[in-house]
Amino acid sequence: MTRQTDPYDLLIAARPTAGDLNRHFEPAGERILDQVRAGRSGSGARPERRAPRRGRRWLATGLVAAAAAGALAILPSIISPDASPQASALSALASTAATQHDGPIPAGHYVHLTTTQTQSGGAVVPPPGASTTGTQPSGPDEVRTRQQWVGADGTTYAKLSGPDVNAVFRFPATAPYDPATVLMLPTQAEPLLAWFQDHTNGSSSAHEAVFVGVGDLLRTGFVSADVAKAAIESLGRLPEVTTEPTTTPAGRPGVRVTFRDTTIRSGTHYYIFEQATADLVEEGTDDGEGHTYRAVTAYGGLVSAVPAAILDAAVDPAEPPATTSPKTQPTG
Amino acid sequence: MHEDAFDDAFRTFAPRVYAYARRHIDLAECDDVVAETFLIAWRRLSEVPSAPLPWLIVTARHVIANRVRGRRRAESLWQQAVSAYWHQPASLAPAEIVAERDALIGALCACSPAEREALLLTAWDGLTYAEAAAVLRCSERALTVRISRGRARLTQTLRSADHPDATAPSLRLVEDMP
Repeated sequence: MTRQTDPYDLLIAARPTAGDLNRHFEPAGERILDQVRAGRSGSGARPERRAPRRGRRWLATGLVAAAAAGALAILPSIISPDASPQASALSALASTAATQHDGPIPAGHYVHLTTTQTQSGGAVVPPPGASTTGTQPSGPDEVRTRQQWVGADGTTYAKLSGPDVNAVFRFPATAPYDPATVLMLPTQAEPLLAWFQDHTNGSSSAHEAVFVGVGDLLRTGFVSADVAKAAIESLGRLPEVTTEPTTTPAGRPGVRVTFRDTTIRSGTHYYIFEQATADLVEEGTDDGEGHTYRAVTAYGGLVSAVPAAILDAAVDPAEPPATTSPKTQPTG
Repeated sequence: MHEDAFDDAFRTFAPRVYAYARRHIDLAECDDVVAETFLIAWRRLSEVPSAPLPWLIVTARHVIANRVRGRRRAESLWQQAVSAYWHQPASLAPAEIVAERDALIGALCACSPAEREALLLTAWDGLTYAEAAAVLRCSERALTVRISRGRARLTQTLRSADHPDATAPSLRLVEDMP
């Protein structure tokens, strides 16, 4: 087998996309829908159970009062961007996101985030002259932490710590995920998807770029509820996305959303959302060759000030050379 | 207003239900199966779960069962449907796609109907194990066993059909379909 070693995976890769399904269904779709409309607007009698004669069945079926009463309750969840279980899971997450209260950062306040990044499976660089044949040993996990405070104007203070960095930076607002841009984003999935397609690139596929962009947006911590809802729904438009129940790093029920496209790479890219809040709490990648990356984000909410030690230590990396060396990380 | 929303839901899920019907009943009857399935959904909206696809497939399955009862179901239906719906990534040569598709369909023929349906509901239709088990009215454990056996049978069949001198695509047609 050339592309897949597991035929089950090959079967998954060949799964018809929404486009494939619609291509086969569309010629008959509207005709069938007309049948359903005729049936539900009929007399209200129950349909015959066994192969009634064509043409009469739909007149004999219709809406019963109880069903009508239940319709409004069920419709928000039955409407999903894709005909798949993963779309349904994302639809539920999107509904949760719509009830949250994140949004524009009030003047004089900052959104505080802490992200812990773990890189695993990195190769150990052999010493000069050492043999490079055979399997290269993997190095230890590398853990870096980034604390971040984002102001209403997008100014960001970031305290980075890890084996190779120990510094505090100050960045100006950076498009496209700065507060002013995020505030203006479309609040419906389709136009937001189009926006992502216009503003993301650098990945192996347009869909992968959108997937990455959605994560970048949601992890800012200042996305309004309706934009967050649309962003999560837009993930459901990507045929490479699957979902499964999981547990968040904090041990709470979560939904793992995975992007997998074996035509462009062997690995996967995933997000974990907390089910109760729709917060994106973990991101990770796996290149399929033993190298993994995992970033866990804790949302600290709004704070009224950046710690003085951070303000004092922060430097702008774009400033002239005299000040480009970041100051030593403050204690505490 | 809710009728419009139901129409939207129809457009979302009906293509998948239609694809399921294609595997199990003659093409000429698929329209009616989908229409009947959604009319039942409309009549029983309060029973439809928030993730409706498994419920819709179970309903379609019942509708189909009523229609084909007493008839011999054509074994070739699922083969035709899988072949027709096989996703064709632009990055692969048509010959390679066809070789892979036909080899997989051949290997699926070697599976028992229960194994094959378990494989298709999960890998092909994208249902979770729990959802597929609900569709088939079996335990999740039983479904896992069917999938496990089916996967093993797929691998075994493809391996036995693989020609050592074959070049890409290395998947080959299984000559003797049961």
